[in-house]
Amino acid sequence: MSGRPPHDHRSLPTEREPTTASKDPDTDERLDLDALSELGDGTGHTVSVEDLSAYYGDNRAVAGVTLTFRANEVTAIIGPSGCGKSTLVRCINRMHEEVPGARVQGRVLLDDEDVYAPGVDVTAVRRAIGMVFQRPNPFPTMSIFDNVAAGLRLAGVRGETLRERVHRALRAVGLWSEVKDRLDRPGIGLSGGQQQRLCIARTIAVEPEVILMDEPCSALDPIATLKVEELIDELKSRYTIVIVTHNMQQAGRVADSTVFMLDGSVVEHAPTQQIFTNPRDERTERYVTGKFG
Amino acid sequence: MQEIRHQFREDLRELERQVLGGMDLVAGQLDRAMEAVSYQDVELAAIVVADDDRIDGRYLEVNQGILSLLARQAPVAGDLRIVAALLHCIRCIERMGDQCVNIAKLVPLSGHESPKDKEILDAIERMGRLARAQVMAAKDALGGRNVELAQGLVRQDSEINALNRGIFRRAVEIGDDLELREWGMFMILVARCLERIGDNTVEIAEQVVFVVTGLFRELAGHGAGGEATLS
Repeated sequence: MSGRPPHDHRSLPTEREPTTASKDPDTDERLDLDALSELGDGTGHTVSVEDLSAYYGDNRAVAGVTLTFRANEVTAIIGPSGCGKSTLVRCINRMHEEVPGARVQGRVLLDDEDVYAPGVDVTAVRRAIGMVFQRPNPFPTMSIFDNVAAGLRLAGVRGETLRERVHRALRAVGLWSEVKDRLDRPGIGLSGGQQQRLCIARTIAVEPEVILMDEPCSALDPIATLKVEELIDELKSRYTIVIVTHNMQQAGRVADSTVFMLDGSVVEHAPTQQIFTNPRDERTERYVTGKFG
Repeated sequence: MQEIRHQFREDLRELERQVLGGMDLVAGQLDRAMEAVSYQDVELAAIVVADDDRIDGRYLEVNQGILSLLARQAPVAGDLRIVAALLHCIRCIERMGDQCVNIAKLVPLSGHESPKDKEILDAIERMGRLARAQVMAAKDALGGRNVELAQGLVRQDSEINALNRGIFRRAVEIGDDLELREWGMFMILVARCLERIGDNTVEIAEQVVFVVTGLFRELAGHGAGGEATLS
């Protein structure tokens, strides 16, 4: 990681020592900002989707979408069930094609590289574009440590470096003080909110360039949700984040810009404030104000 | 497409009805305050002062309702704009009510049988009628989301402003009769209250434009005259 530009701490809250933890693990989630700043290269990468269509058999779920997800920003995708928002993000890291009968047309660019170009290593794409899912899905038979280490081991990281990077990822998501004494215990023994942050740690441990989140808080309680949202806000200084959410208030809280999708198409993509105060399109207005279900 | 959030919509409509009704209360108070000025009716003036509680009560009700709606329903987009506008408008209504009280309180001070100047009194009465018309126009503009009517209010308001200046000039030149001069000074204060009521209707008109367009524009010539948008 040499040659990485120094991270600017000025815009971030004061660092707190994780070892000064209070006794209640659920009230002590402190982000270790040093750990965070050591992750990723901090420059951010842009994802562009060009005329993207995605199909399940003959059913077109995404219909000719063109969008740019800007670097170091959180972009939220909102829309009713079945509007294609989850399918769209699954196309970005080539997960859509894992579904039998599914196919994709159009281009997805990570900076200038087409992730669908012939000869591109799909595993490398998924390492560069990490994904966090709706339900926390730690590997059930693995310990907390191994859950975070899994992706790193696949990438050939071993020994002390592995240990350091796992610890750093756990610190970056504010889990370190809660799990440091039980790293060898099963990941599924953690609370739902902790499991989801464990999954985020697993995602950022391999130092991706983009993080996709598909309803990352829908299985969490409100406090765990707010902690994950706070983490998202911190992570955006290092990564480009795309979050699919059913929760419009969540989009309002975390996203810099918001995309409203309907029937596989983008209706409106605008700064979040505009979407929630003065949307340009009547359909966006009707959706965000709950005038149709 | 099927409309959902019925209770929220009904609550929002009810809050708007309360605000629109608040402007009727102002018009009623203004009518009586002006009558008290014209006929030097001290008792009527006292009723105006006492009745301000109704407008203050309306202000508190709407404020409470809006806080509850914000906390429980998290309105957005057009709904958020109308909620923000209602909060602003009810404040204007409360202020207009206070101006009616200010006018009423001047009635006993200006003397029982004081000499009057017809020119000033005519101008004051005309200002009262214009201010009332503006209150009703502001109500119709808000209720009907009528941007044109809202913008027309600014032109109307300039007439009130001109009358206000005219009353001031006339009162300064009114002559040597001490009592008449004193009455003239009180009429300057009444005119000032009416002018402020006009300004408040213009503020409501600005909120109407904001609700409809999402743009906030100062319609009157006061202030920087800039335009801002929430987005």
